[in-house]
Amino acid sequence: MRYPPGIDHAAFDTAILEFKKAVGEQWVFTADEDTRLYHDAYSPLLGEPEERWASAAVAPASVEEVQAVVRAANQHGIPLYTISTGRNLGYGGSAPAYSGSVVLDLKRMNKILEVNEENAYALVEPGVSYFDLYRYIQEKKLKLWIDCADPGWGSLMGNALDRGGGYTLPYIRNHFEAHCGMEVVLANGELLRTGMGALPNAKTWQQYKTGYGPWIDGLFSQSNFGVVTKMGFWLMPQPEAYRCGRVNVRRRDDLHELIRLVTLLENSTVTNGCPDSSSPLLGIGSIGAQSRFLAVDEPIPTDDPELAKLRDQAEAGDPRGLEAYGRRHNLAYWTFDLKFYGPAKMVAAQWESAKDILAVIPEAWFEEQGEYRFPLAEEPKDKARNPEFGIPSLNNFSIGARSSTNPTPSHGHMWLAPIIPRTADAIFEANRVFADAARQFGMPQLRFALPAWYWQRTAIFIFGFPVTEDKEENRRHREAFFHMIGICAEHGWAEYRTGPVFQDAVAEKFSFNNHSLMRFHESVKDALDPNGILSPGRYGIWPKHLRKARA
Amino acid sequence: MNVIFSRRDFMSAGIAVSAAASLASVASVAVSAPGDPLGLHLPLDLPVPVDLALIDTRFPAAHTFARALEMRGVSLAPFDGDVTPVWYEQLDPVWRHAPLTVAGLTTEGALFCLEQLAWDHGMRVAYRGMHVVSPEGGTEHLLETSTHRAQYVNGRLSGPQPWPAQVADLIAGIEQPVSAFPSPVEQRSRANYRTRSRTQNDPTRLVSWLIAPKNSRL
Repeated sequence: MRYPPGIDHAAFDTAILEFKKAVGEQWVFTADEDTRLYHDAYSPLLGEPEERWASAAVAPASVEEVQAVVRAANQHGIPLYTISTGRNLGYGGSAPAYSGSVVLDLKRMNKILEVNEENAYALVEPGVSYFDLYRYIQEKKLKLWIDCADPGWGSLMGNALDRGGGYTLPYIRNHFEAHCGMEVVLANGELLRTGMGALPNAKTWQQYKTGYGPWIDGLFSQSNFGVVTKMGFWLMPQPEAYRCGRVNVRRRDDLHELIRLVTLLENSTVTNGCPDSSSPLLGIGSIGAQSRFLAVDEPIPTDDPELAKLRDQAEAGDPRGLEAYGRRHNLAYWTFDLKFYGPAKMVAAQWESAKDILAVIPEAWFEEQGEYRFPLAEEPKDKARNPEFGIPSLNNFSIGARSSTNPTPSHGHMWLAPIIPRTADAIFEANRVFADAARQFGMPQLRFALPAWYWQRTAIFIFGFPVTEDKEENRRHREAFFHMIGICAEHGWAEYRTGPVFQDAVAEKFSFNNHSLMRFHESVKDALDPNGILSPGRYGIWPKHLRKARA
Repeated sequence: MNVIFSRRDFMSAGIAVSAAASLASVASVAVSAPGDPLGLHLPLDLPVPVDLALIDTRFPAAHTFARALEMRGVSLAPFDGDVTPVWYEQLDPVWRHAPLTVAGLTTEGALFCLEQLAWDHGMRVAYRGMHVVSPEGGTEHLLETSTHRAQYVNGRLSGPQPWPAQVADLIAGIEQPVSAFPSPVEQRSRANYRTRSRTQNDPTRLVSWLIAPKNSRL
């Protein structure tokens, strides 16, 4: 066992004994073979001395046990690092932000406390995974859908607290926005309920989000101000139908009007699924093609030398040749897939309305991409576990595997995920900026990329920087990642989420008025957790004794 | 330097692998034993009962591996790239109640998932073999297990049978599997081999493995 830095060994040993008393000896892990499991499988620091490590782990099964562990840690000044299931791969996994922390593993708290079918909500503990809730709903034959992250093995609470997203209705696929009510253990062991949960005998804890007075739930996401032990979530009533339709446009500059109109359709709730885009002419496939029921025929030619030349010309600023190629081969420059959930008649009418609105784009044409009725038949459900249908999956773990399309497999990846404005101008600018940065920094040339559209009103680029067995290569990737954080900030863009290695760097960019936001966070931290025991360093928030003097 | 990729590139790679693969399934002839409500019959003649073998049927090597284990009475759980149905329907319901020793010949991605899911139920990887088509012909192998079980990876893969069958023999012969992963490399016995036969032309790196209850006994 390794001791946390700066912690008196006797105090640590005493705390471990108290943890054992609180949760049972078998649920406190100090042997290397066990603490080794609390690592970041995709660590950007793979195999390096700075790789984050846990000194021990403790796995309580109830809120009372969490309170006892937190009280003991607070008394002895032991840093804890809270995880729900620890599976946010690409964003840090289960490794602590501050090496030597004791991982507070909440996996054993896996009770589904309530699922209300009539009003479509659930109350769960941190260890409940998307698969767990999906199984519960299926077994009880409830007409409800979950919105799951991709992959679906993680915790609803963990993903929501890290502000992850999914694929269905806008107010559901933003997982933090979908939550309603929390229970939190504070650093002194006190128990707090937010929203209507603060009312003893509350009858609307999971129905009315804001309660009375300041709405503080956001303080407990992407932070270290408390240990969240229960969360409510709004679910989605099982729709009668799902429909997907594709709009295709011919010209590069059509992207301006296309995005404007798709955004209008989404903000007006004419379309209510997560939009998706592609560019057959540029060879960019849609994100959803993999996960759809029936393979979508995406005609993306790759081996035509004429096309490669025309793409280069288009990227250099003259798209006319590529547009003409598209007309000859009936290939779109851009596409958008619009998705609709609801009664069959309604989604048909919504698609017709969307087509009417989008038809103002010259030469636009439309394709049906399928309609499905629910519940799905068993056979197709077995063949495709589709997050767009609220079905969790592990399918995307082909990522990184050695294959004909990926001859140099990686150990994982670190996601760089800047949020940008939802305009074509921003997309073109971001591509120019990323390409320039790649050249300047000696990174591999990035292809033109399209963002994803998980969040309403914004777009998000998600780039994976590979983690490999080569430490020098990983160092270069980290440097490039840090560099890109800076470049993004210079242009007014920032990551929606990042792993511990990069959390300080991103937090540093939110510097308006001499870092007034971070100073506020630190004030809250000092007030709620004066001994700095809860997840030191998470999202760049450090307790006073570990805080570096701000320049 | 590896190429930086967008999330949609990831998805495309997954599609290409699936589309190129055979979707033929391996039919299990195993018959459930009496008193075996889960439909998993326990092989009687193995040093450690391998309860189930997971087979990614896209790869010919997996078919050979499956036949070799099936002959020893091991139940097969075929899947075609996406390990979700096998884990969700067969493994998870059992692992929630009791350990289930599982072997497999799959992609690394499938093992990556299963290993972490197994940790939550007190299971660990006790043996792992990497198998990749060699650019110089044949197949290269790296077999690894605990230093306390070195005999199971040393002196292997020299027989006349195809390597997947020999790997199945290896796994079926492991007595009292000792947890080997995750661990520093110096705590593992490793053996490299090259076999002459290629069981596939696909460059996908395959992995054979055994997940068994956590055991630190020597």
